[in-house]
Amino acid sequence: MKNYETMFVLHPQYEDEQVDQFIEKVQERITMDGGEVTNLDKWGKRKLAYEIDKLREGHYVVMNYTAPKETSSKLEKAFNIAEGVLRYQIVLEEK
Amino acid sequence: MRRDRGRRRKKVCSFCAEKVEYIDYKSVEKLKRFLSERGKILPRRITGNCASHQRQLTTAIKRARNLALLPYSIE
Repeated sequence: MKNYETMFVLHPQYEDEQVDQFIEKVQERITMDGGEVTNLDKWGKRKLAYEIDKLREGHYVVMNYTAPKETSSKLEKAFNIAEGVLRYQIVLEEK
Repeated sequence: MRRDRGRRRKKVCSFCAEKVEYIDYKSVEKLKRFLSERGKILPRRITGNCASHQRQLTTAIKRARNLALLPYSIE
């Protein structure tokens, strides 16, 4: 089990409910593997530093979790397939 | 920068001065200070950062760029 931090950017047209739904799905995936979400931080809508697919804004979400190492690659796959994800990043936390 | 008979005053790494152990890619405002006006990462020679903090800084900036928190380039 290691500590990870993931941040993802969702489509700006998403309503708050849709964002929450998406977060729930991610949480489910983590807990399914015996992991645990330790921290959740919704930044809300934020301007992008550069255009992505002609979009200028996005919903930013930061999530810290502990999970076995297979979970991250599974999550990445899910992020890749999922619609409405502009960017995602999973990093290992220090220490 | 003060010139003292041709010798430059030595710059101190701003992260060492603040005793920063981990440079967070989420602290966008702090990272912005280390970008040139075109969005490039400033070299150590100008910022005076120490080697280990400069390395941490570049990875932090690159992570932030990936998430569109910081620009890759400014026109």
